[in-house]
Amino acid sequence: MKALIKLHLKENSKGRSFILFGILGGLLSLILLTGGSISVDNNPTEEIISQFGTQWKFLSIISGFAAVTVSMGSIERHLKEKRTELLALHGLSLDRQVFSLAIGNALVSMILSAILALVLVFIIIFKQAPTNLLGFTGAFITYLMTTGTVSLIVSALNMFLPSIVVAVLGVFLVIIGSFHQIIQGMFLNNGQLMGRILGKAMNLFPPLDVFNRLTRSLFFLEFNDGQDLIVFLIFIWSTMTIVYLASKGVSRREKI
Amino acid sequence: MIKIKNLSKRFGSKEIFHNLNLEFEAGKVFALIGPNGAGKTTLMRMVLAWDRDYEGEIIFNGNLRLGYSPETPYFPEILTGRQVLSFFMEVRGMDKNTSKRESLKLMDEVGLDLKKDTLVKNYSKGMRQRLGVAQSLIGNPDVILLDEPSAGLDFFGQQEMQGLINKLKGQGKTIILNSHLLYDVEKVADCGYLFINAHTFRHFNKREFEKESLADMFINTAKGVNYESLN
Repeated sequence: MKALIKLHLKENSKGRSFILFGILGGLLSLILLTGGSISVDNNPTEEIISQFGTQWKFLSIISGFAAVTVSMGSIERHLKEKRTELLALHGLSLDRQVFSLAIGNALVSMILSAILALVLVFIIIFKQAPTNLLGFTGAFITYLMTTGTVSLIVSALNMFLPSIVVAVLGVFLVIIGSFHQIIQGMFLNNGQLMGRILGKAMNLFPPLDVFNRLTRSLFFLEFNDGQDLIVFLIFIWSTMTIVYLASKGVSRREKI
Repeated sequence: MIKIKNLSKRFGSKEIFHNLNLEFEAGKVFALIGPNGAGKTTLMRMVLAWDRDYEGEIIFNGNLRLGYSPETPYFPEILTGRQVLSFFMEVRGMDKNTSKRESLKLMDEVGLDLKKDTLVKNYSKGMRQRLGVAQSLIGNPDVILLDEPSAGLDFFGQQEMQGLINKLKGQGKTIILNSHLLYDVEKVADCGYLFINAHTFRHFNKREFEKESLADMFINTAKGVNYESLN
């Protein structure tokens, strides 16, 4: 599995997209840095919190889209290639091939997310953000894991659906997931049966906003809600289980 | 070494094999020849257990290791020839240093040692085919299945491939060769099977195609002349 993950990373780690994401992340961070300073009236601490909070939120959404782009077609492509049988002959069963690719997709997405946040790191140091190394590391890991989770879900979808459908679903998933609690609240407060059903159905979407809240609370050293962390860990574990089971399903379908 | 007993196979309404019985003995080069759609590649896929949807039996004498070179070898374009072999070796669980050493040996074996550090995307068709054969040798297989190894090669490429197959034969490998190039087959095969359709096929050996060319044998068998059924 390690060899295929390494190859997948090599095949997908194109210098051009890394530079593009670095520039995109840099621009986004700089725009939000200047935009944030006029959003809160004359309170420097509030200003900084608002700036960095917004930055994490936007970076998380853009990273989600990056994860969708990276992961939306690679498994479908792999299944169409003759490489699957040859790899199986060399001892790597199809379920392990597909699982490796899903992990590879998650790793590439996380690398892109890290590059996207590179300028943010300089801004944090330059502006002396209200955090410390531990808080920043925790926030950064949570941010990367969120992107990785989106990538895993998109990979699992691509095991059964064509890439174009997966792309649309993936974008939808990132947008809904990023405003999960607001949208769920709207449905549940509606009071009608359909609202309640849709509100419950929202549980199927990844609560990316909860993950983002966890990122921010770790970053601002305000972490005191273990529930968000538990939701986060359960979601990662469930996603991994789903990807694993989906890989087995693909192997059974393809009979390799 | 490999025995095929009462094998029947259909693709929808088309019957590919009907009660096929044949045998591949150790240390020989077997050719599978016949028109397109006669089932040669399908037979290879069944031997490799990639196609299990058939009636009958494929019996292996002991725990045979199989190697396979596809008609169009698909290799990661971003890797060099040597790295491709290392990759497959690492997939098999070999450590990095051993795989590097072994892949160099195999590159040498197939005559690609001077191109070991060239990216696969810059390989010619003949070099890709030879890399395909090198890949099929990983794990020291007892039986090597070569699917159209000379397809698309020029005269010199075909000569090189014949030399390589003869070299493997000299090492005592059992080779099952699927080829449309009858001249090529005559140069390397000890024996083989000619498939025309589900009910018409025949075994042939070197003595026979030294008397009657494979092309004539093909035409005569297709006409129903000299038909010798093994069923």
